Amino acid sequence: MASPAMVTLISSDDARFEVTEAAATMSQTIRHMIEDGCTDGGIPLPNVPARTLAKVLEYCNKHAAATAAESSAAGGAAAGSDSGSSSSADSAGKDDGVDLASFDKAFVEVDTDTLYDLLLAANYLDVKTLLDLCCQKVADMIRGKTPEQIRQTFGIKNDFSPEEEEKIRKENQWAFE
Amino acid sequence: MSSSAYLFDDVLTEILLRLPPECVLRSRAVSRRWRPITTCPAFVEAYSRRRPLELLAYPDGYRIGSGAKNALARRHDPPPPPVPRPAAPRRFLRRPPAVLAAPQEVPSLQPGHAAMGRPAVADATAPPAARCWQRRRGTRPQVVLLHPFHRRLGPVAEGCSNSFTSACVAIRGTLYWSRHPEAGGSGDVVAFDTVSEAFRLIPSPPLAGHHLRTFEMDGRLAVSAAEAHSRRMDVWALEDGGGGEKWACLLRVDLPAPWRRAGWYPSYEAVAVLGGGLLVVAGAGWVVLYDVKGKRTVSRADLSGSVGNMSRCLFRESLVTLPEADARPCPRAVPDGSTPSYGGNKFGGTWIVSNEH
Repeated sequence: MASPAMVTLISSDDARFEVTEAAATMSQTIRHMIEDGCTDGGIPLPNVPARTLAKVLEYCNKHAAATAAESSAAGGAAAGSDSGSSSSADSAGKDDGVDLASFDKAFVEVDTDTLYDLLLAANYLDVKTLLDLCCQKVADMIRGKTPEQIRQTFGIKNDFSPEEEEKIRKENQWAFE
Repeated sequence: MSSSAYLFDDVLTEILLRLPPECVLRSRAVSRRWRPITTCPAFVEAYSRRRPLELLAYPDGYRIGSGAKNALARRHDPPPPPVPRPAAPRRFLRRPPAVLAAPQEVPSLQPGHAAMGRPAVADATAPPAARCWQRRRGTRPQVVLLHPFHRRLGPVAEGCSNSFTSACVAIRGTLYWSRHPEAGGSGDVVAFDTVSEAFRLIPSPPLAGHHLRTFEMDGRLAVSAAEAHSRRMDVWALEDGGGGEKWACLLRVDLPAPWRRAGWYPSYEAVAVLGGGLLVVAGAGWVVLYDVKGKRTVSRADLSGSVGNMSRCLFRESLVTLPEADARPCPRAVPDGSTPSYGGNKFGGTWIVSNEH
């Protein structure tokens, strides 16, 4: 089997990352750049610093590898479907699923600044599953909080006048009780 | 720290879409920048589309108004479900919904009106056209298009013999009825195309003597077929094969023994398929959740204490509260979760099938 195609990504601070095309194209943004043939001399990502890009690529490498393992397991199962060998492939796939879920959970156990950086990078690079993961993490931080607690968590200044805020509360009083 | 200043609005949108309604409504009070994100129509629509399809069952004559719902929503401790099944992914809860659907999704349910249909948000691929059939007692049946603007298309079927009309199902811009005056007693399923605004007839499945009930299953028209006093119910779906539409029998469901003998009425009828492949079956004394894949009854609620029939409505939660004009007090209904009295009889209150615990 030929060695996998590699691409070079360049962060905003000029660090170079060599990754498999399978991992890189989890990003729709990068996929489009490759399709458009803009890969000569590496793909510049001026919005993503090295620290964040390394973290995103850790995620992409892990998930791309899991996807590859899954599809080769599925292919093997299909080839040997008459021999009843699919059960082992099934259980291997399940283990991967558990493994990946715990990887994801640990992956977003980071400080808020890192989480925001990841969110913005996932949004810019258009890595849908990573964006989902980060959004859900932040959503869990908001869940159950009062507006004041949300402001504290995210460092937001209350720019409503007391009258305005009271009016907003009254609109959906039940949500505040 | 002001990192959130760098959270773009579209990222914040993605985050807020993932929260339950009360959290979203609270988030509107955070700041001037946060508020418009969740009040814009695009967000409100996208939000509803993401919420799971839910079923609300309530006694006939019970008036659903936003004031009542919002008052009820203050209760945080729903009583335990009547048939607790801890392992079930979805189960019956006796609790008020926090916010019902937007006005354009479920019209005001007034005494004397029967309004059944899928909320507008249920089918994103459908043209923004008709969603609902509305019937006013004592007047000729009419088709009413409810979205995006109210438009009356009836009255229908001049000189028909049978004015009884079943609930309507809307699938990709076509409305379907299993019983409709337009069929003229032939037993055919009636379809109404909301674009051409024309009726057509579809021969029903070969099931003489069965009560047919239309509903939507995986984007197709399906009918449940059951006989009175029977525990068995078949589900047929309309398949678009070569040479036109054909009915195929998808499922044969065995259900709990009916609670009461129900005259001409069938023992069971399918109502809807909720998320996770759960078929909602309503019948004499029970509402049953049936797992289509696993082919088993997952959960059921006893409605045998209810007076008369239960009305049902399918909805997704919405951020839009029904207008205040609708918020008249409910007739002594479900104020606190205890079994309320209604017309001197006991009924089971309002039921909702929900993912929540």
